[in-house]
Amino acid sequence: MGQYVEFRGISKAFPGVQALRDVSFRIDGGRVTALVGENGAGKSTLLKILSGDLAPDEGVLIIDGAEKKFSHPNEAIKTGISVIYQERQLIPALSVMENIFLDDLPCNRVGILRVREIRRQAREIIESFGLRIDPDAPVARLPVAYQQMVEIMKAYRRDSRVIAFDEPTAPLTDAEIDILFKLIGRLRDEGKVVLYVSHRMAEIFRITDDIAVMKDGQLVETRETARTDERALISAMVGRDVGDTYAKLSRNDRIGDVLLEVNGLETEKVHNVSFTLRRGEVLGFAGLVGAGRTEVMRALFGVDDVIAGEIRLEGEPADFTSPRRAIDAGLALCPEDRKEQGLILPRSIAENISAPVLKKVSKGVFIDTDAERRLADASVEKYSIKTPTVSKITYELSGGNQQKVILARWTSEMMTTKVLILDEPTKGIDVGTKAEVYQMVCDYAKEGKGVIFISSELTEVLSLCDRIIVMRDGYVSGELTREEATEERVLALAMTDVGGES
Amino acid sequence: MKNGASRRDFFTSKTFSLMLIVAALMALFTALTKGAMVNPLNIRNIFKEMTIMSFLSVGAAVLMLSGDVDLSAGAIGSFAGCVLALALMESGLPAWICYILAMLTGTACGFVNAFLVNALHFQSFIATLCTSSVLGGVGFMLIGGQGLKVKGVALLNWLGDTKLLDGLLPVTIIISLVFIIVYGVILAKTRFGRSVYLCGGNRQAAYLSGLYPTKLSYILFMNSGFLASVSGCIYVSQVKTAYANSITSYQFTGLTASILGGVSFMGGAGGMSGCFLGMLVLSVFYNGVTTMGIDYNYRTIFNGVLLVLGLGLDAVNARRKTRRALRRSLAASPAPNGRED
Repeated sequence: MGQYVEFRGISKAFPGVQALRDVSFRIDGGRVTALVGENGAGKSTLLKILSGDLAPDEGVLIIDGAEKKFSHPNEAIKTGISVIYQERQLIPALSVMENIFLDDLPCNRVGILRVREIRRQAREIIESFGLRIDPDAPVARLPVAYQQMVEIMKAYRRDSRVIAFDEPTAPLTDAEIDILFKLIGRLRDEGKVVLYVSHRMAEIFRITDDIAVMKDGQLVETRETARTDERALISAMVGRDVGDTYAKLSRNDRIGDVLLEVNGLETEKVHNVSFTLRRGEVLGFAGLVGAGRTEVMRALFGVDDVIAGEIRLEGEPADFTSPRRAIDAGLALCPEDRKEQGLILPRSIAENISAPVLKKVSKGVFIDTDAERRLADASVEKYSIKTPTVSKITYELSGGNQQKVILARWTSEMMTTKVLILDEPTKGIDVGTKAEVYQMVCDYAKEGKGVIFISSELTEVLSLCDRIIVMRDGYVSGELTREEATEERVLALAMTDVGGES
Repeated sequence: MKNGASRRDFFTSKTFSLMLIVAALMALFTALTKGAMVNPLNIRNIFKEMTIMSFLSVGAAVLMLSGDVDLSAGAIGSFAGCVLALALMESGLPAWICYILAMLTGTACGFVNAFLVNALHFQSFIATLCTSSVLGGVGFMLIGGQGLKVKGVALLNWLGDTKLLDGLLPVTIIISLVFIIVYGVILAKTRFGRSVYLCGGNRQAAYLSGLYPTKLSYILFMNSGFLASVSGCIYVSQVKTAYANSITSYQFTGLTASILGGVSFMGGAGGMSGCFLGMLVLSVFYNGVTTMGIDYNYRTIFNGVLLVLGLGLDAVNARRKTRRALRRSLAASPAPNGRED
């Protein structure tokens, strides 16, 4: 009676990797099933097979008793499968309602859109989800969270029986996550098959009923969420007991004099921002997506124009006119957006890592490829980037490994960094590597450097940072010390009225 | 093991498939022309065929690597040729100054393109389409439809007609090969070359990594203009006449050679060796077709067909490569139930 999806003996190989090997398990409708595993465990590949993006080398999908082999995403959609990826698949210039009905726009007999009908139906769906979104608003103007809601509504409108989410909360803030979870709860109650891929433990325990654990392309086990705990789950994913990530960190306890001072910083996007960063300090930046955290860093780094205000690095005025000058003065900005601002996708791992230190891997005008390879090899080892060689094109790496390459670029041994700025550095990377990133942050602090740590994952900010600046709408809305900071206090500072905008 | 792998990589590489095409074309035409294709004089002609195209192709390749395209190269080159001819015939300046003047003109046109693209944020496709159109007209105004003949200039005659090694090696071919090698080394080995690839691969990420994509863009557009003017000057030196559209048709040949050679239209991938082989493929083909006595004007057909063949072979190769790697990884990995615990 109930709906279900079953993977039976699925295998898939790519050049150099066996991404999936004989994966078999069943997901029942009316429950939320988590799919967890480290980077490169094969979660994304499995999702792509489910969505018809990839055809498995071996094995079949069984959906409600019928064997399926998709050779095109359209077939999966017609079968009632929707996969909601991190990168949203909406058309930004079109309106909300057009996106919801994109693949099946109601037309009259001569093929002209029945706009009023579309609007009416879209409004119905939006209201049934309890959202306040204008069906005529172009998707590009919606906040990221609402764009995701539009995708869910699109899947819902198709009457999808199976809805899979790939790291849906990565760009969302906590309040937005609440809305998302309400929607997921509703899909579950309607008996749909819900698959939820995430790296975030708290969420998995909050909304899932079952957990399927993958490692190295194989299914390790499936278990009921209620009968396991975080630690047991992590050790199943990693294959060993990692213990409490934060408790094991070796933190820096000697905080020195002022390293970076920002006074009344004013740009097009942020207003009157002031803060200080001391040597050996880890300074957190919390706030909703779009609160202006990234924009402050862009101004510091010489990307966005500074309209007014003063920046001092080690007491010297530091109004950088380009990233090059900022880097030379000792700033490093590891950007949030992997594909737009981070990676140079058609180039190799080594070329990506050496980009900011090209002069240092050169002899005269020529690049010293040996020095470059040594630098890249060291980074690949440090972050355990999964690749046969450093000359592999970064385009071919998995998402988590791409993120590691960016981190590797900005923390390589040739960078002479005084202030390390990390913008959502743990986005999309696995538990094991997260711990390494945290330790790296602490090590930087111990060396007397300053670290600015931006993250939307509150636990991370609260556990790692010595002080937390909270931003809201382009202003600094508060500052908390490690002792004062609690999740509630940070949230209170970060939010005005929750939701409601369109 | 490592050597085996890299050898295998070579055999599936773009370079190798291009070499195959060159060899196959040579063999085909040698058979069809009963050996006329491979006599030394004809080999020279193959390279001579390449000369005018080569400068345009190199300029196009470097610019394309950075993510832009210059559709005005042919017009700039022709215009520079007109400037050269006018200066030589009318100004009374020493010939070498006239050449420099022509090349400065080309570089300046490149600057205009760069300004439109970087300061006014035109798409390079559109910006260069505009300048191309304007320059073609201005050239016509200066020269008229009949072209301008250049007579009695020693430097020009020397450049256009001197052949070394018993007439086998024209100076222009030497110049062309030197340019190809120099640009190849710059791209593959230097920091500047690297910055071309990085900015072409992702302009924003490159900027955030401390490079200057805008400055680079100015340099590369000016470089494209410069190389175009070199091409135009060499044309005038060989033909002794400047036309308002003397090398316009070569521009697409140059672009074709770059693309055929594996330079990505999106930027960030490709190299000078591929570009060179791309030129060679085209030159061999044109030469073969001409040797067989087929109308030279039919060559654009082959242009397109070759491009389709070249890129098609590429796609097949990529798929083969994937399949081989897959088999290798299946063979190397342990049995599915070899799991621990």
